[in-house]
Amino acid sequence: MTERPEKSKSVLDRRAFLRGVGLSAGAAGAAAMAVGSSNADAKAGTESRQGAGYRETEHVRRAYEAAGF
Amino acid sequence: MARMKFLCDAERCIHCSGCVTACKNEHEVPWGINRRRVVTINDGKPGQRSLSVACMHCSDAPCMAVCPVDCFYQTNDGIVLHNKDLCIGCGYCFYACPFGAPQYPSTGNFGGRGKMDKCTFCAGGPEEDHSKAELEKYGRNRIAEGKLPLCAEMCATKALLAGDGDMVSTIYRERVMARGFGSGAAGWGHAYGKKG
Amino acid sequence: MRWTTLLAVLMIALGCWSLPATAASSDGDVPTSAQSGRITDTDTWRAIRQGEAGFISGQPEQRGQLIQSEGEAWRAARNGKLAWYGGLALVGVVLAIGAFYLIRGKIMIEGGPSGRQILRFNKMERIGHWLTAGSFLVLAVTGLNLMFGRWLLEPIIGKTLFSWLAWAGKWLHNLSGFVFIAGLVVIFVLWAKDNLWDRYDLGWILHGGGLLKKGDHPPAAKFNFGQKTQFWMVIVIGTLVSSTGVSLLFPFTFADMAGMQVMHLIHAALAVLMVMAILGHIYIGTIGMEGASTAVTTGYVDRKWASLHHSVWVEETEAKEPKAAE
Ligand code: SF4
Ligand code: SF4
Repeated sequence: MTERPEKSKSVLDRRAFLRGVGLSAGAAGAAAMAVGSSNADAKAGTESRQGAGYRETEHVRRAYEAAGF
Repeated sequence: MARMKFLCDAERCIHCSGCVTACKNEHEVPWGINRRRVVTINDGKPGQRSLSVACMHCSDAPCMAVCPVDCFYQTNDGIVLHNKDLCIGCGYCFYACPFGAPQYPSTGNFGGRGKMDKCTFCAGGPEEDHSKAELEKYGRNRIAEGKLPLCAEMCATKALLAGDGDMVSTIYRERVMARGFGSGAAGWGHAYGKKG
Repeated sequence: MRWTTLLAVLMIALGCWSLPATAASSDGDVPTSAQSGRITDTDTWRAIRQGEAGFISGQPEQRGQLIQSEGEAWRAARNGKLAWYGGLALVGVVLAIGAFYLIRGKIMIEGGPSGRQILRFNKMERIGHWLTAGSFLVLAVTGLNLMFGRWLLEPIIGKTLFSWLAWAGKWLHNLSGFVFIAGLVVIFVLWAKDNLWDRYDLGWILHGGGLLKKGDHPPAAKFNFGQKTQFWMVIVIGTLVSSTGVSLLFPFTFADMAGMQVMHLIHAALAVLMVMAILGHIYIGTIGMEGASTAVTTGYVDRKWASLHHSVWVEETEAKEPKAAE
């Protein structure tokens, strides 16, 4: 995996993420999650009940199919 | 992550107003309010085109920026929703919105407009998914049901597209290629711009 | 006869020939909308982008406009220039007043009050002052809340409470607007003639209003030049803020969308100016000067204060009613 080269590249970054997020999974995964959640916070402010959100269900796929010709 | 977008294909829209009616019925939209509308430009003249418009769920949404009580929020899917419990009916979002989306139950005097209402991309509001409160204030939450906005799903000519922005633009691009002309989509660049 | 028919046929044929070549599909395709001139060209998109309105059925005609871009200019002005410069100006004025207080201190009655009272404002004048002033305070606080509350107050007290406050504030703002207009009319009728330019004004200006040096008291009649400026500021800006305010209260009755946006900006910008001026007025009427505030509370001021600041007025009043000073 690409885990090893990344470790050596950004040991400091990774440590910060690990400390903050509390995940001991791969450094890349933790980084992605931290970035994702911080972006959402900046955009959505304090109140952002997300609900179930969009999922590409069978129903949705059929709708796309019907729309494309 | 999927970014929800609307697109209306002007080459297909026939101004049947099916989308307006579908929306009105699905969400029991209050009297006097239409979350969606269809406009025909150059009516009866060469170059006549019809377009269906509602809230475009803008990136960097102007409504969100000017609301004095900060009652808007954008979901992870890019859908711009608002909290009617916080809204004071000041009308600012309507002044700022490029697409004239926000509507008010009464156009009465003294700023007595009532709580703002607009298209939710069929994604309800801040209340619990499928709760009675959500249904009454914002209408049905089809997104949580794993469906797409009803206006687009019911569009007879499939002029109105809704859903994951990547899917929508793929479908539209295929159409444009098959036609061999035209690539503009009203409001698309304006709503989503370079802002993603 | 024959010749003319032939000519007509020829002309029709030529006419067809000169039609766009694209229309004649040679390879047997079904003509597409592109070939029949149904291309939505860039001009169409540009027109829509620039606010072209179209036909709309069953809904208000104004909704026929597809895109209005002025809203974003309005947003940029309100959240940008107005919020920033307005905010800075207000903070600046408060700091300037603070600095003035530190340097000049409270302006005292030299030699202390005389203990003899003189009627400065009768009941009607005081009512006029407080109709205007009271409603203005409410308008200023609730208005500033609508502009800055989201950034300053909401993070502290939370969204629910803030929304309630803003809602109540909106109603107070809407109602006190009318009180303010009534106040404006009253003070205009009562005080306009006392606020016309007179021969003492130039001296007052040359002395910097006596604000700069201790013990400097240029003569003045009922109102000095500073007060006159304040008065006409209130009348002129107050009228503009009121009229824009009234048209904001009745959305789209007096103006269209662009009008509403411009009116809102004028309303807010002038209101900020007015708050700045009134902050100075409140300062000099209360903590900035000994003996001034009672003029609008009890209506009476100390005779010594009056003879220092409004010497001509005292002479005139006492000449008219010699007993009033007793
Ligand atoms: S279309 Fe209007 S209401 Fe919808 S997100 Fe954009 S600015 Fe807000
Ligand atoms: S009308 Fe409601 S949602 Fe719109 S800006 Fe005012 S408070 Fe916010």
